[in-house]
Amino acid sequence: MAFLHKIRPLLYALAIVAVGAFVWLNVISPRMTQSLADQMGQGDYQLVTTGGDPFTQATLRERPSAVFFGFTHCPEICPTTLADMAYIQEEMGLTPDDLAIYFVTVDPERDTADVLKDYVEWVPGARGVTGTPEQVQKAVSAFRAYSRRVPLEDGDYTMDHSAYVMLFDDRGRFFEPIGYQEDFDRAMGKIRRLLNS
Amino acid sequence: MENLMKPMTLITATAAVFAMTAVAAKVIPNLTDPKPQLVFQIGTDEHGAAQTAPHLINADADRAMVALGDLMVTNGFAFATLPNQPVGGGFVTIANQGTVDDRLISAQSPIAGKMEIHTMALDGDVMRMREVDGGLALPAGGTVELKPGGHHLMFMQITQALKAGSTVEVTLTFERAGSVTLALPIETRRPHGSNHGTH
Repeated sequence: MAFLHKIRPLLYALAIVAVGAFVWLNVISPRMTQSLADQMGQGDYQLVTTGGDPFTQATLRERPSAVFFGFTHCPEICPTTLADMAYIQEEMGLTPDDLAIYFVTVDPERDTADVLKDYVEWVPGARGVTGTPEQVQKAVSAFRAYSRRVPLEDGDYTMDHSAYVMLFDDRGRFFEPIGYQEDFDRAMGKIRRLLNS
Repeated sequence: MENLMKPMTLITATAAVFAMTAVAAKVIPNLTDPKPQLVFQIGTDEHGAAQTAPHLINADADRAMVALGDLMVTNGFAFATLPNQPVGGGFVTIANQGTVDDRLISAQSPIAGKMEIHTMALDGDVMRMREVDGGLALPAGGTVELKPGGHHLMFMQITQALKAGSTVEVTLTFERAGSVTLALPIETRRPHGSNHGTH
């Protein structure tokens, strides 16, 4: 036991580090993740869907949903994301009751409900979401998303924006994001897990 | 009986072993089978570059091509627009087979109020699109690809929808080689990297 005695300070140090790590992994870290998942999408934004329904934090608790941000003056990623969602919906045989799809505009000045309607509803059952610029900005913050207006020449402008799809369960809790052009099988695997959760 | 005189040493050792085992049990499965977590590093590979999943579209045979001096323009196409989509994207591959650098300085189309040459990139998870300043450089002996997820010709203020199956005329103007007009076939967006065919 003389050996143990000699390394006692080291053992104390190891014990403290190990207990600390144990507490972090089992108690603190899960709580932090938990709270971010609970906070995503929560806020007092008041928007409206192209179906004429209100879109608020309560909307996320109606059924599992996929929410993403975009705008119609978007040459590629928004149409591509919509096309991808249409494909996934068809491939998995999902109805809007299984998974609600919401496309929230980051450009409410140009994307009125009328403009958005045909654009987003090109994906069967999907809904566009718009509102006043202030309310849209609130929603962007609530979803921890990003959008910024970038001036172009001739007074025109474009928008930088978050390019991922956020999945929420039917209790309105953030589940997982799907990245832009993420592999289809992976994306569908996430949705399958969401619907089984 | 020296052992009993050092109970703290033993307790400490036991606690350390127990806690480390618990930590290892917690960490190791995460390494082999990562649980879904709030990781927003998505859509990128380990180099941070966008996963340009092959947006495999049609065989090149259907695509527009034209030669202009030393420039070979191939693989020209545009994507169909969604209802009410006021902008569209067109793509070409330009090989500069000459010995002098050139530059794509502008594009025009009868159906677009204006056109710009854009670059687009995923910056983390944020998509940023910008006009290419001063046109797109075409170095001698090099090939520049405008393709989904990167450089594109942006049709703006379009006066009619781009419908799959038809074509859209585009005039490309180069600093040295001059101008050339080609009809880009309009294609439907297809799911990237999927072998499930069209829908």
